[in-house]
Amino acid sequence: MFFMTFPCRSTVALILAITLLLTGADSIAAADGTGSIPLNEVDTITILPIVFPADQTAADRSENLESLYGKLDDYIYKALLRKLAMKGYVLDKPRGWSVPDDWSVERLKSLTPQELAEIAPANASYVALLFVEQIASSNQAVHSSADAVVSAMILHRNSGSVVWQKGTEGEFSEHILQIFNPLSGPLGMLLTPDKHAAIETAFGKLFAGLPEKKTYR
Amino acid sequence: MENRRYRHTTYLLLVILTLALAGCSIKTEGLIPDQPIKTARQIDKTVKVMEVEGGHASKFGREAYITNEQYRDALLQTLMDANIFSSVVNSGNADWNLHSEIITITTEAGVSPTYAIVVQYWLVDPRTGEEFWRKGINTRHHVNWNEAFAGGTRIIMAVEGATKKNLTQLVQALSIADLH
Repeated sequence: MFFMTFPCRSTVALILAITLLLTGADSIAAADGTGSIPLNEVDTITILPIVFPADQTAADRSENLESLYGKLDDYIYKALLRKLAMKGYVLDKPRGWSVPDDWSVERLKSLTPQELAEIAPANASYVALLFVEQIASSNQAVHSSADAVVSAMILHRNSGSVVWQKGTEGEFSEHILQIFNPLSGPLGMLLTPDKHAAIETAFGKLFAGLPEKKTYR
Repeated sequence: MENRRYRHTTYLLLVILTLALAGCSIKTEGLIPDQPIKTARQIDKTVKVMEVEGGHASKFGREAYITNEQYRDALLQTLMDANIFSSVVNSGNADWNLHSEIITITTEAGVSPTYAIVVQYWLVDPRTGEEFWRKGINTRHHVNWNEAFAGGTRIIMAVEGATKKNLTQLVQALSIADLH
């Protein structure tokens, strides 16, 4: 009967942990355990519309920022475009595809990677799902702030496997003095959509961790 | 007398500024790869280079950019030099239409600029309207602080370098693509 002593098991565990750490640097094993695709092989990433919690979407759209929220997808897409271009990735928007019903965090998080791949655009090889899991803001006399909890997943559509996924939290906070500061840029202006800024900050932090493509020249 | 001297100094400064700005603009010739790109094969089709989308003139205080016309001219010249298609035209009819869109031109700030350019290319059969090939290409170019004295020149060198690499990769991608 195979038997390992405690120091032996510790060594094996240590080696396993180091191996996992090393292999996890560039790729994350598929959530379903079907294998992994290195990020270097990722060509064009199709960015799908932002996914909100089912109950949050309606509440957000009823706010007076409705018109700005309508543009959130473009806003985040452009921010990611610049950030990820410098890391060697090519982003694209879905073409010839419409958003399926019940495009909510709750529903999509309940699907397996294969099921997600089935509802992704057929002409995309890699798709990115951007989840706004939580968004809240507080407005006081001289201070307003917003907090966003976001996560993202890059999926290889053909194999239905997860190539990369991460979650993070982003906060945007502004003081009344910042609002009137002309040097603070568009985000510091009076009409700043603080929830937008929190979401952008959160996705910015999240994708900052996406490794640069090694083959990128 | 004082007034005349002041006017002369002003004119001289304006002339110098105009010359400096003229020297700091992106030129189409600078976007074309220095050497014709060698390809493994020639595709026995004629191709029409369509109007480019997504480009615009550089704006003060923003990243340096390329106009659609500049990019189209550079693309046309590169394809002609590479001899990858039996013929390349910019008007009239051809077997295939080559479309392109500059998705972004972006940079990391610094005295040694790195510029990235992302361009989507796609081929369409004009008879059926079917898009049968698409490729997004991201290339970047870094220029060291000591490669040019003026910061504006270094920026232009970075944009031009990234564009040359992008056009080179396009030709290479076309030469190995499964096109019928």
